[in-house]
Amino acid sequence: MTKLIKYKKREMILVLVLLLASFIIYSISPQFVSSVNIINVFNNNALLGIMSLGMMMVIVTGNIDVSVGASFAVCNMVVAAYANNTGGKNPFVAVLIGMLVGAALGAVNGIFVTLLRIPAIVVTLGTMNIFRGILYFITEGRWIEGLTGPFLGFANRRVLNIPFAVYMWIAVIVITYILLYRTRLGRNVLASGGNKEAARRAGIEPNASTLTAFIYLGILTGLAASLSASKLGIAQPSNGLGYEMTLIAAAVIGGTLFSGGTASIFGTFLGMLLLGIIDNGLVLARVPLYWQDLVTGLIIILAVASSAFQSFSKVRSRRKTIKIEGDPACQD
Amino acid sequence: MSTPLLELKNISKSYSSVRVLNNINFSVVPGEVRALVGENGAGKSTTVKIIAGVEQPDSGGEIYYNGELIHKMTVKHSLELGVSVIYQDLSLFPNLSVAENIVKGSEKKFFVGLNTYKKQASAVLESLGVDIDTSLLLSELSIGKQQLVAIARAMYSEAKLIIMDEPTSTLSSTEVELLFDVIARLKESGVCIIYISHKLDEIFTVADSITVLRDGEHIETGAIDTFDQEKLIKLMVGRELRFVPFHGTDIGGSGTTFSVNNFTLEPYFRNISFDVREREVFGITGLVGAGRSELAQSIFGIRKASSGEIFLGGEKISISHTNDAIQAGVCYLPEDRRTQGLLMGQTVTRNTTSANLRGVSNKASLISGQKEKKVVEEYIERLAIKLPSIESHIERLSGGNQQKVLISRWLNAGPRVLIVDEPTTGVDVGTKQEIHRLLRELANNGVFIVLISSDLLEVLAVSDRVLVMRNGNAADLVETKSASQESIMEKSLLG
Ligand SMILES: Nc1ncnc2c1ncn2[C@@H]1O[C@H](COP(=O)(O)OP(=O)(O)OP(=O)(O)O)[C@@H](O)[C@H]1O
Ligand SMILES: [Mg+2]
Repeated sequence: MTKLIKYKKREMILVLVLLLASFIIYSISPQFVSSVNIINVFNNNALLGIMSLGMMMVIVTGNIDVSVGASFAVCNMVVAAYANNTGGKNPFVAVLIGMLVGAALGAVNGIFVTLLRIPAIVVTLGTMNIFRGILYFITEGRWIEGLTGPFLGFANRRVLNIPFAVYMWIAVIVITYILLYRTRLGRNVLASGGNKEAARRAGIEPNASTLTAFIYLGILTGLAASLSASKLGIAQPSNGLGYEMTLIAAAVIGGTLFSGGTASIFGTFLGMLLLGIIDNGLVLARVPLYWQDLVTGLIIILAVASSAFQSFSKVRSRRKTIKIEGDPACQD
Repeated sequence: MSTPLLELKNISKSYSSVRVLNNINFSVVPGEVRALVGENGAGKSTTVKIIAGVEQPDSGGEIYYNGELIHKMTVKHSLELGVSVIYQDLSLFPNLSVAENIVKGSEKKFFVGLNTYKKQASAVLESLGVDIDTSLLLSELSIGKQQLVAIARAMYSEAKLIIMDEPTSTLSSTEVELLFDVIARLKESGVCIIYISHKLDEIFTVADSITVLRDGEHIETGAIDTFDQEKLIKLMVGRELRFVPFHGTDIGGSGTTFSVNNFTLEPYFRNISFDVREREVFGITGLVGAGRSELAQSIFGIRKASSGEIFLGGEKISISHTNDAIQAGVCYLPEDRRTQGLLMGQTVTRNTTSANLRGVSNKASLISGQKEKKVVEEYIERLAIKLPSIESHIERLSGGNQQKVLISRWLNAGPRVLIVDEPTTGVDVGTKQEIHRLLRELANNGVFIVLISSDLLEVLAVSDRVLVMRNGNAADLVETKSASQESIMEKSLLG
């Protein structure tokens, strides 16, 4: 238990903040706590939630991807085009195609970052414009609408009154956990994020870790984009604008450090949920739209400030441990 | 003689145009403990990195392992061959647990069994004779414990060749004993060990044979009994080097002093008081963990003591932040250069002048490149710092040379009080003496010197009086003239 408090401090704080935020929203607008609304919050944030775990993975390697929004739009359009042409007969293939396209886009980012050693922020700022530009060029800005067949709405199908997309979010959480903590691949990602040179000297290829993370984010982006097309029955090349900021915010609020090597899956989940709840609460409370952006912005700043504070207190707690170390009883 | 486990033939290495290794030839056999010695920057760590596949040698060199020519030694390949390295800079993962740090690089399976690893890691630590909770994050450990983790890691890998690059630089004497036991056991089971250290007594205790490098050249390899300390030093330095033991100067009129009164910060130390007299080097020793570094950090304002006063020249000074300390002329050379001292990614020049930018500024208060250069070059000469260029990044320097740069920084800060914490970690014998001489000279010029060191010979040689700390208490205050290593050791253990 003490260990839980020590190592999951941030998550504990986030849970408290979530409860507090929920309580405030509830006292303003009681319909917040209804099963319909709660499921709605989860459902509305499932897609971003899925992608946020990929973003977390990229940040763990010490990189960043601001092209996700554009990748999302590309995948979204490709999947919709396929579903449209095949009458939505095969949702499974459609999702697979979405994920493959996402993986390819992620790989492009990853290859530029690793092979050409261009900083990720530069690469992805570039690809953000390139992906979106090519998409507009090909589609000429046209939407794809009127999707039909089994593809349409499969993401909204409910089992036990919970939409499929939410199950996917949960599945991705579990998969990310296994990948990051239970496989050598994931452990290598963590190791390279923590100390690149040490990783190299332990026979780990830091570039492989970086590439893996970008591709993983790409796959999840493709998945989310397919689910989006299925949910809405419509796709447009301007989709996904500004997603990168929300995803980065969720990961950072959850305790992922930009310096790399430190991640929290549960924290990222909570971070996404917090952003979602606040959005939802502001809507319920009929707060004008521009205020919502302001509040989200404030929360991000608070989160980043608190993560700086956290690493500061980490240094302190390290000093405390040294004291325990210094206990002469441990000497012999 | 059995077939060599590892053989280096004509290994050279150049960084851009600078040749740091030149035609190195030597071989080691299973069950042998080979000491690799040389001055700072002689090329020891570079040799290690080449064996480990971290750096590639220039073309023309050959590496044989078990008699087989290895065409391109990569990190992966060397790990597979059973080479394990304890790097001088440790190369561990601060963000991972102790257990993972120990197993990293040796995992066989794709899926990670956390509990198995934890158990195995604990077992290794236990066989090493140390008690560290394997679920702690590495960054939560003191630098000494991290060193032990690095050793455990090498043992876990079940390597056939273990290279230890200054493994004892941050260990306490008890822990050094533990390491030597381990080495004896490994040797018995046929493991070959290449052991790098600047501590000659360690080398004569543990090694079977010695290879001496100087300026990137192979000077001599031979069995341990063909060497004695004097010969070894001569081979390393390339000239006769005489040890002139220092004596405490006559501490005459004790006019001004630097005094620390009743310093307490639980649970590190309590009621510590001492006066440093004029022209005195004041030593503080004790076991690692006795609270010495914490005391120094409190004096310097890194962690505020809960009570206590500081007087400098009769005037009370209050230090609640490091800035106050520097303003008052109190400077501190920290124990761990990597995490507490060096500005990584910055040039040697910037690392040297960073604590006294005013001293290198011109009339318009702008930093003058010329002045900087002059200062840096002076210290390079004085401390025999070996470096590619003063504009190269600090991480390009060998470990000992990095330490020398840090020392220069604080010497250059023009301190009134200089607290040095293990100042000669990783520094070669020749420069060690030079640093001692410098400390002495500063003291004679009116700087109050506080020397914290576990190296009793160093303490005895340089300081006039020594405070022995034990469990955070002042155990005793001894005049070095009348003290011996044994008596101090006894006091730090028993009091
Ligand atoms: N990346 C680099 N670029 C340029 N020079 C380098 C680089 N790495 C090492 N050197 C130089 O190679 C020389 C040998 O360094 P090395 O680290 O092998 O010394 P060492 O014998 O281990 O010394 P120490 O006892 O101080 O650890 C040094 O002069 C160092 O400045
Ligand atoms: Mg070295």
